[in-house]
Amino acid sequence: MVEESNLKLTGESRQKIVALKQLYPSPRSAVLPALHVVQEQFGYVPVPPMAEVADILEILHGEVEQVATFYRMYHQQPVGKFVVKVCDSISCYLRGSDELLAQGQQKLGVKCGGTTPDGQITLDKIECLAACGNAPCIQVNDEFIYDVTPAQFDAVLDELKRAKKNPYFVP
Amino acid sequence: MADLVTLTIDGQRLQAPKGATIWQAAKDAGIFVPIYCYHPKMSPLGACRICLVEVEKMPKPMAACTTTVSEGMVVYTSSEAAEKARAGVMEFLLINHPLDCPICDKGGECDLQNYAVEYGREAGRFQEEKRHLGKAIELGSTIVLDRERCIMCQRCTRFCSEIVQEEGLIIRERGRLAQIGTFSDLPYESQFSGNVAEMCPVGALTSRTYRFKARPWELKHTSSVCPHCAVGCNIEIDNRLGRQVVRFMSRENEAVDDGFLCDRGRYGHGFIHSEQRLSTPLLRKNGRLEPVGWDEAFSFIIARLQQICQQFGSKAIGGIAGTHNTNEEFYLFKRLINDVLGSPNLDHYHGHFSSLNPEQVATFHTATIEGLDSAKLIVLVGVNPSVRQPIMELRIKKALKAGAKLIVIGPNAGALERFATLHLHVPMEQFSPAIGAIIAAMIWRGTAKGFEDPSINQHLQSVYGNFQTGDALSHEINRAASLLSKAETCSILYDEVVTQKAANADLVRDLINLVLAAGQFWSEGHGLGLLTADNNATGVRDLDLLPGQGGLSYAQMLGLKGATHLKALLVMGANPLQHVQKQNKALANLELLVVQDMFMSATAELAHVVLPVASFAEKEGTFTNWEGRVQKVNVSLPPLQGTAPDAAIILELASRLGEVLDIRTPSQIFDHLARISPLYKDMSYTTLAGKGQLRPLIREADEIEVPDWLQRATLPTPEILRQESEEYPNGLTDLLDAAPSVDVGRVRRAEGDGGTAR
Repeated sequence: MVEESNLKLTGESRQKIVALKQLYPSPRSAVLPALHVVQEQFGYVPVPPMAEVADILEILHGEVEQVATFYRMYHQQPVGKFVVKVCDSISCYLRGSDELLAQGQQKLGVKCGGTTPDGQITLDKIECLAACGNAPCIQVNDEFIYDVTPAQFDAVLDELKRAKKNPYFVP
Repeated sequence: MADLVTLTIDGQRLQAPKGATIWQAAKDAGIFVPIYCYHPKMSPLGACRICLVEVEKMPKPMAACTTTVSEGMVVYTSSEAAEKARAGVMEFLLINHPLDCPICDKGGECDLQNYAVEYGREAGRFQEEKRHLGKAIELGSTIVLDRERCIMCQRCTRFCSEIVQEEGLIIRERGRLAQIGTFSDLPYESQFSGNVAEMCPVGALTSRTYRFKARPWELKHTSSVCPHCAVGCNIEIDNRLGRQVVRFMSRENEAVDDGFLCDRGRYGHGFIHSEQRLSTPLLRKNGRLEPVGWDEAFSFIIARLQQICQQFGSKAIGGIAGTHNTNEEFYLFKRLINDVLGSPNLDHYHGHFSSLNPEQVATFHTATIEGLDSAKLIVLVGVNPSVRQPIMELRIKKALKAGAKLIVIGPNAGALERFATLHLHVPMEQFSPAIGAIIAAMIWRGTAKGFEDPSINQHLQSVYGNFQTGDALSHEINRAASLLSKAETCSILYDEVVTQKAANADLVRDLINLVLAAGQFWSEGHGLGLLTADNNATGVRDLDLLPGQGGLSYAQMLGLKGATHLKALLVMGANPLQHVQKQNKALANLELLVVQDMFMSATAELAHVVLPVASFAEKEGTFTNWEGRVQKVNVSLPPLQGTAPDAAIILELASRLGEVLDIRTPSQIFDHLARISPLYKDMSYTTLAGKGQLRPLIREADEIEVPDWLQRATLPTPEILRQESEEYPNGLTDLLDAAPSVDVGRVRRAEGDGGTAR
């Protein structure tokens, strides 16, 4: 395992960020997509690449961290292979998202934000996914699952426990 | 004016500039609206909501700090709706705010506390347990953070990102999890860190040096001026129970400091109460300095002086002044040496200004601090404000943020380096030829503002004209010329220290030619600026503490130009030994060396008599900052037992020498100076209080005669022509990296006795 302080962007990631920088009149506008590039490479947003992003975009290191910690879609800690995100905004909350979360925590034996010891599943909350018509809604990595019932949720978690690739992936 | 709008606030019809906020319009009309997050020096945020006001036709209360005024707007700042909204905001802010006011440094001068009394409810309705977060977190060497007290106004984080523009405090996480921190929890180290504690509206950020030292109601506030560099930031000396100086706070003066202090100034008060301060006169007996009474010390000095005078004449006596005393003390010192003792040997440590006399130096340096705000181009010639005049760094950053361009000529511009539009890495010895090359390139272009004037055009043509340029000049020189030719307003700043290099003895002449070419010669506020390091280096030159007819110079008195006939040397607030080798014959051969200082120094170690003096906080008088602003310092506490102000010492010496000076007090002296010196025309001691007064420009606008001494120039050398950017070799940057000498010594010494204790 590489020490976090030694983590570095690959040449490819750097190129992507430099390309993103050109898309905006002000380089700092590229900070959100640039952080996605970082997360793509590491699975989360470690500190040293944040500084690299800041240097590429010619902004202060702190400004990148402010953004990275503001948005929940950026993970600040390493996450499991699959990240199950339960929407806890108003519509989903009214339709039982709290119960889903409690059910998931119990089933996986982790706290909200935690990862199973085998590194397979991370369970977390997320802000509104703009799918209120199909509440409650969850995400597995970047894929949506709508109108989730407790039984369905149970099945999803069971499947993810063994899955090699995201079974809900929609190309 | 067309861009004014008329509105009504609390029944008062008033006009405000278009684009102003309700808060600003109310403030200008004398109507108070409370604020936490808003800070006049930073962009509005509207985060705290305490400034909510009622605006007619608006469905809900509006934040006065972000809502701009519009024609016919009707605002109520204290209507029932506004008061209710504000009370609601207060209640929310207090949900999690701890009730530790009795042990909070801010208690007694806390906006949250004051507005809670003013606008809040008697008791909160929230019964839940308050949130618990980290307390007393040391963010760095100067600032302590209490996360529970923070109300997320973001003044500190905006100060770091908008004003200092360096890594500093940030907000991490969001919503109820949001907290102040630093990138990756690195220590918060900045030379402007103290400002965040001052601008924090609550007790979340506190200064380590002031924590638990005093309660605000015990403090006596004295208006003064920071003694740590030549900017002369306005400070308030906060003195606990009249006995101990516990902190310096900013006393905003827009024209000088913009309301900020650097840490060297803010935390540099330990020396006042340092245990190492001299508190008794010392007299050399049997080769050792022994404590004696004032009378014995004075008698010894007078006897020796009279004996030397009789035996060798008054020319065997000399005086060296420092650059930290008040103008009034300099005046008295000059009277003592020149008039009472009758010696022309008087000088101080200073730079070279061609053959300019002090009045001319003042005349040609027209740039001001405030002028930087409107400069379109700033040229730094051998300047490193980050180390030598820190607040200038912020002022220049402010100008750059407003769109000014920056040319750096010389080795190192510190934190401003990365903002430079163009950096000419010219060795310090080559400044003059480089500037000559830029002027030649400007002539070749012929478009600069200065050439519109026929007499200047003719003058510059005659000096630089037959110098062929064209493609011979490097890309950088051409770019500099292009930037200078296009700039409508331009401030060219150089540091006095670079003129101390022999090669730069005539630098001022070449710079004035550059100012002429750039068309800034008559510009008020722009043009040439001479940055000095010490707090009254400008005053001591203005008062002409320089060798008189046939008098010895600083270097001559120290024997650097051959053996000297000097027998007695009076030194006031200076440590000349720092500029010469330790084994100095001239000083060792003196029959009388008197040193007036607060601390022992290398020179004092050699002295026959050492006289302990009062600090700047223990006396009154005036300092002149680098731009020529005369500002007043006031007495915060009586002189330390056993010490005396320099002025009192000189007056006593004069009277024992049989000459009772009639002009004695600071106000008498300054008003006398204002009468006799054109430098202080139309000024008076009483009008200086408050914001100080800029030395008037002596030059009349229509009197444009190019003086003879300008008719020569340092012409560009072939090396300069071809020289492309090269990294400046290390080691030669020493001069600029040295912070002002005596100050730092004092601060360091003070640190030793708890100056920076937590």
